[in-house]
Amino acid sequence: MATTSVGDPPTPRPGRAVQPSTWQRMKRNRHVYLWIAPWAIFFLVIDLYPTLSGFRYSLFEWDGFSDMSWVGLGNYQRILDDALFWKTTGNTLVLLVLIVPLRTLLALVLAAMINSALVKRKQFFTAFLMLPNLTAIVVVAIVFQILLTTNGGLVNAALQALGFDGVPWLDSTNWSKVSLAVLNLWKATGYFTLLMLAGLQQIPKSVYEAAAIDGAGPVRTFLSITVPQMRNVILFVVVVSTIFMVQNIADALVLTQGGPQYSSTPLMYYMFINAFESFDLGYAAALSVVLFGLMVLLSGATFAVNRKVGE
Amino acid sequence: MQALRRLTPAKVLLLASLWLVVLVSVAPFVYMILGSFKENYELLTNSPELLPRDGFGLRKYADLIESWPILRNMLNSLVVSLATTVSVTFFSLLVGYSLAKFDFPGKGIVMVIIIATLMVPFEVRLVPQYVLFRDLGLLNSYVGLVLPSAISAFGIFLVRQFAQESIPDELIEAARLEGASEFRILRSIVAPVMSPALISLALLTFITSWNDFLWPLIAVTDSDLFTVSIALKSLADPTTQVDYGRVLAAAVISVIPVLVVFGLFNRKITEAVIAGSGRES
Repeated sequence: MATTSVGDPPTPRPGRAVQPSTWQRMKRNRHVYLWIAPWAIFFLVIDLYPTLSGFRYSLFEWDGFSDMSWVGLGNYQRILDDALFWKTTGNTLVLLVLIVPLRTLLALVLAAMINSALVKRKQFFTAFLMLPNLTAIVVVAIVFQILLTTNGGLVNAALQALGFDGVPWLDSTNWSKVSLAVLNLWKATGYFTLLMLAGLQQIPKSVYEAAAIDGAGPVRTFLSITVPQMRNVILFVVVVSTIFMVQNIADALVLTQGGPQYSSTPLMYYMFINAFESFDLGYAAALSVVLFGLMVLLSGATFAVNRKVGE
Repeated sequence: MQALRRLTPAKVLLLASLWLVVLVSVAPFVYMILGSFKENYELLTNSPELLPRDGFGLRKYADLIESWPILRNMLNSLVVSLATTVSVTFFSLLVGYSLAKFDFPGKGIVMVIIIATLMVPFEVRLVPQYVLFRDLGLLNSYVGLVLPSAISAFGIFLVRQFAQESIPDELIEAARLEGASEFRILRSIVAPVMSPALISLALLTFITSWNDFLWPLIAVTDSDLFTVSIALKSLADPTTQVDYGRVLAAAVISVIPVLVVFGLFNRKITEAVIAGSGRES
């Protein structure tokens, strides 16, 4: 019994715990092994095996049907020389810059607003903020595609009614990324607001009361109490937001089809095109590995920046 | 309390901003619903009108159902989402409870693996997983659609958290002294106590699965097996002549289940989202 965390009986000789052997502990918990067995099989077959074969495929040239031919690091060499790889990686980074800082800031400000004592129906506002996030990305992309149509879309019609020129949202290499950013801001800001709000509610009230006694105004309180207290939550939001962004593909696939001229194709989508449109599976697998590396790098960089700021 | 009721400028500004956010969140839905009653020339025009010219007749919906197996697609999504939900909830309970309440050899490794699978994104194994399912002959099948998300590291993690917090060890011990088997304890004591958390997980899983896009897109090529997300993408295919009213009608139909679930249980869902965001990070 001494090994289950459930109601350990007193050990027979105080001060000298009798350690049951591993074998005894396994026998006592044999039902647990039965319970986790399906998960273990699932992990080996659906998670581990494909992950490992991904690395293996990246060393071959393969169209998915004929024999695989070994190219060693050839695919990685090809990546370095591939102008489209650099372009799509650049797109991913530009999208990150367009989206992550603004989304993080908006989420924090909105959360602080909802958290204000002046707002009574918090649940009402969070529910509406979550709504875009729970809507399928395809639905969102289709609606935005119609809204952002250059000739006659509602957004341009409104701009023109106000006396501005229409914007080629989906038809220009500069604006296509902005359109993707707008969609992503609309769709996921609410989710991050919710995470921020949960963090805000952990901050002890006494900290704010002290600030009020010192006569700090709302902006001052926000900058000198809320932001520092929320540092870990903000970091978490930045990391998750970045990972979301790097993985995202459905938005570009439906809204802009990656165009015009690959201007809104993120790296992930470029991998997808290589795999499922060009059937260049070995090369796509190598791109996946690079993509994974990029994600680790970006998360690592965020943590490093946080540590610097913390010092 | 008086101060709360009084309308100070700060409060007006605050509430006006929040209402603006609500408006921005809702506006695309209103546009989508109104658009599903409109013709292309009403949707793409420099002088847009709010209401559809020909009223709220359901002709786009009738046209859609006649020309596209949208109801079949809805049924597919329902089958796949329900199967995924039941499977995820069941296995999350088994594994999450095991990790929370038993000290078995190998537990450390299991925890490490679960955290690792949480962090390695699905997209990295998209290509090899596609090859695996193709070789197993599981493309274009319900099993092929459900299997990759049948067990979720996220769900296991969530249940483990809740089990640690909400199941007192004494409760389990008492049942054990009465001679109940471990599975019986799980079924008749742990599961009922955990049911609020399990329901939250189930709701969230249902919505996620319903909205899933990338895997169904490559796992299914037979339009009879399309989930509703994939049907929408095909309907909106820009290389064809698109009837936007019809596409928006399909979009409206496709969001109904999610809106119903969210409308009924939004509090539980927001709780699960927060709980699952990784409090240990």
